[in-house]
Amino acid sequence: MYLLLLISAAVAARSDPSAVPWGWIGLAALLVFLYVGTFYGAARGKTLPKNEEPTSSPRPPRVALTLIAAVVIFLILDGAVFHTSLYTSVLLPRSFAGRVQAVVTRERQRPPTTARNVLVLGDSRVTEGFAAQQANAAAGPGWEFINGAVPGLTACTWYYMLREIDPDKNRYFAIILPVEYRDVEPRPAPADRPGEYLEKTRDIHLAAPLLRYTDAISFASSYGSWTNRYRAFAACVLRGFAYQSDVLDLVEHPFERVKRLGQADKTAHAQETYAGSKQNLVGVQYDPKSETITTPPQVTPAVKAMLERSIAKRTPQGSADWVAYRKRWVGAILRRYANSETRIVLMQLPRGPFVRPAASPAEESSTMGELIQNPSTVVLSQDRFADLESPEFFFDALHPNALGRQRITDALVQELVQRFPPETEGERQPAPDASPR
Amino acid sequence: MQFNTVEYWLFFAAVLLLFYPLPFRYGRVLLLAASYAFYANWSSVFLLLIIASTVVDYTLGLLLGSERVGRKRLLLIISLVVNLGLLGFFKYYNFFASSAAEVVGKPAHAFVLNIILPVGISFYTFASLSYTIDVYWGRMKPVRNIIDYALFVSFFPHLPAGPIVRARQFISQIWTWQKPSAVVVQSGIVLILSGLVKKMIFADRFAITVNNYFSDIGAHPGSLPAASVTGAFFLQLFFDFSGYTDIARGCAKLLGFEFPLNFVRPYLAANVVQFWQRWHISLGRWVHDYVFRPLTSHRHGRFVIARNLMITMLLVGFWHGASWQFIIWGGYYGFLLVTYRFYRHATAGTIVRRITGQRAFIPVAVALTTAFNIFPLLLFRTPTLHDTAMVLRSLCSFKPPYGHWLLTAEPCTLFLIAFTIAIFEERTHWIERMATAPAFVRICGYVLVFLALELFSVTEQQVPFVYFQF
Repeated sequence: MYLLLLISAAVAARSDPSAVPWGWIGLAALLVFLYVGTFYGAARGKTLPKNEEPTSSPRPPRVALTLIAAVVIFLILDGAVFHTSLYTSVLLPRSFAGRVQAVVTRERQRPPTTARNVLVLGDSRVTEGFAAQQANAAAGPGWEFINGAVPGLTACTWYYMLREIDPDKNRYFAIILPVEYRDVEPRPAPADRPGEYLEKTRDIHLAAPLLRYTDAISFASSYGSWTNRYRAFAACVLRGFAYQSDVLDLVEHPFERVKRLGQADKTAHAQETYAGSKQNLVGVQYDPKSETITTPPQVTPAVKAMLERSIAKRTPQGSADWVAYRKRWVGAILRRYANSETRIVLMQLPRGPFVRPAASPAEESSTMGELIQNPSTVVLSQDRFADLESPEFFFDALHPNALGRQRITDALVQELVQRFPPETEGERQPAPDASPR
Repeated sequence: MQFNTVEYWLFFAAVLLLFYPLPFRYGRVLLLAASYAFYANWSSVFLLLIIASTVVDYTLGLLLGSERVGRKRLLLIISLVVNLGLLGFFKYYNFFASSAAEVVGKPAHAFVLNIILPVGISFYTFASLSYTIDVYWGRMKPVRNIIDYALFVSFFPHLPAGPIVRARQFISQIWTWQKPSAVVVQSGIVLILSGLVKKMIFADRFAITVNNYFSDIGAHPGSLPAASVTGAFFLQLFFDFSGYTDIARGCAKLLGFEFPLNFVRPYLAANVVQFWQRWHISLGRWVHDYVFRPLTSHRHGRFVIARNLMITMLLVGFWHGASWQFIIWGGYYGFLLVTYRFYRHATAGTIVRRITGQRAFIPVAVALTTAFNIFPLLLFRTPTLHDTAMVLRSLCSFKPPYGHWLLTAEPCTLFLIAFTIAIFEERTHWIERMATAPAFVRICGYVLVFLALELFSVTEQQVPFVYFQF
């Protein structure tokens, strides 16, 4: 170890000889520490023979009692720190869980209004593709749009988020859920992660701030493998497990965290006034026959790879997993609001700059209709945004650019204002498109 | 079913709950069934191999106990041929086949078979051999009850990766089994927690850096990545194997059995002999008692001992795996041990010995021993000799590109914590003392360990125990 440290320090010194020799000073301090430590350890105590565990004790050990007491104290500590706002208030704002928590906190603190509150949920496609400020301006008074999307957010987290911010199921006039209508997974699961949708372990980290002790069994049972079931269970009971990476980051960079938390309001404001990406994919061509993408030089390899993935064929198993996942969690949201005044609006966002034509009738099938039993659920036509599935409205394979953002927002507002005119407020409208086409 | 999985702990809890209400004569049958179930979880086919090996050695043991001297030798040879034959076939066939193919000018894979190495075969083969050899030498009587013998061979805490338990140690514990005292149970719990911390917090954290580097060595040129990853693997290997051993010993204690020590802070050894008295002790003692001592029994010349040391260490290397890396590794340690013996002899009574015997020199001696130990351990991790050479070349190159130091603040902090813990443990044995500490201290210790495991263990990926491959 000494040798490795010396090699490293020597190399570091040679690579930048003009720099202040902090490396050497640190190394010298470390060597002194190691020397003193080893010197101290070399004088062995005579109290016990070498590493033999004791077999008797002057006092009764009370094994079960101490173990139970330790477990109870541990659970109380974990509950006090991670199941209260104590830790969630210092979550890294840019982490998944931090962003989810920020949306939840913002919604809890937002004073109630008489306007029609419309919550738009979703993932990065909605954070990029929907502008709440623009929507409010377009809809006029009487409407208030809230962008509740967080990059990476999935239907599972939508469910727990809604439970948290709308406990009485009456806060919102409408909740917009962007869903894929076809029974084909929107993106193919990576080859090394089969069962991607059934085993969405990221949900555990995303939903962590929203999970309760009572969710332990139901949330864990949503996973297929025992390892993930255990992880999900642990995230409900011992939430620290789900916050591991955040805690590590906090321990490693405490001052950076304080700084970022101080900038949280600024970041939130920047997100609110964000106008979208200026880039587009004009010039990119897709040949459905040969299933190839041709890109101009300005398109980066990463974007090209993403475009190629987006048109790749899906596995039947992946699609089956996707349907099962969607049925479970979108179904849970629809059931939750089945007897409430809140309208659930399902919409299919523009899927990408290019959409691979269905290879078989099975790929065109949709089981979404099975989920929709409540007349207050509104399903927007799948063609509503189809004209936006074009390269000029995207900056990569998934995300709308500034122009796409503007068009999607306008189209959504227009659709809602038309469907729910002010004079019919409070009356239930029959859903014209009760099932996706 | 690895020791760091939930499945294992559910299994272990079920075994404990079923074992203690039963009288021991049924309890040991339960333990045997549980051990077989544990192994079948890996491979039910190779379970048949353990059962076959058990039946053969049990029968040979009985025959050895009743035969006259001439036939005994034959029976021992049969035992050696069967045990080492199985081990040789599964572990070494492909090595010899590819070497032979290269000698006769054929492609290396020409004679190679698709053989999967049964988990723990090296460990249970040596354990079985200790039985037949001890019966042959008259050090123990043959075991009459096949359940007792089968339990010795396949007892699940030591089955996958040791420690190598001797028949006479373990079987006498079966015959005189008593419910473990509260202090022993407490010690077991402390050991299990210590093992989990070593594996899941320390070893697996270092493994992230190590696996990242070795997944593509060429992608990390320069001496800084090589130096950092060598140090990381040096620490990973210890924490991984030592953590496994602690868990195995702790589980055995909870079931009323004692396993031998396997590690005593080996990286604080001040010379190579001490290192082998502290590292993988059960293997070191096994080869000492069953290989080195018989070879040296009537001949004590300095060169005879040196030769026998070389043979013994080459065997230790070969035991670890069928590749030239392990043979070089064994030969290297044989050479170090022989050199150290000559050095001791040459410096006896001189000023050098007086200086090196000073307490102030011990840290220097520890540093030198570490330096000698750190490079051969690379042979454990690199898949081929070519890769070993590549890493060593990077390590010793002081030319640009220097690359980046791969260890982040997190593993570096873990190293300092581990060093501090080891120093205090070396001095005061405070971890063992936890078992008899006042309840308040134990509760605080447990809570800290639970919190550490909750917040700092590596859970996003499951890193298999390194020694399970042997």
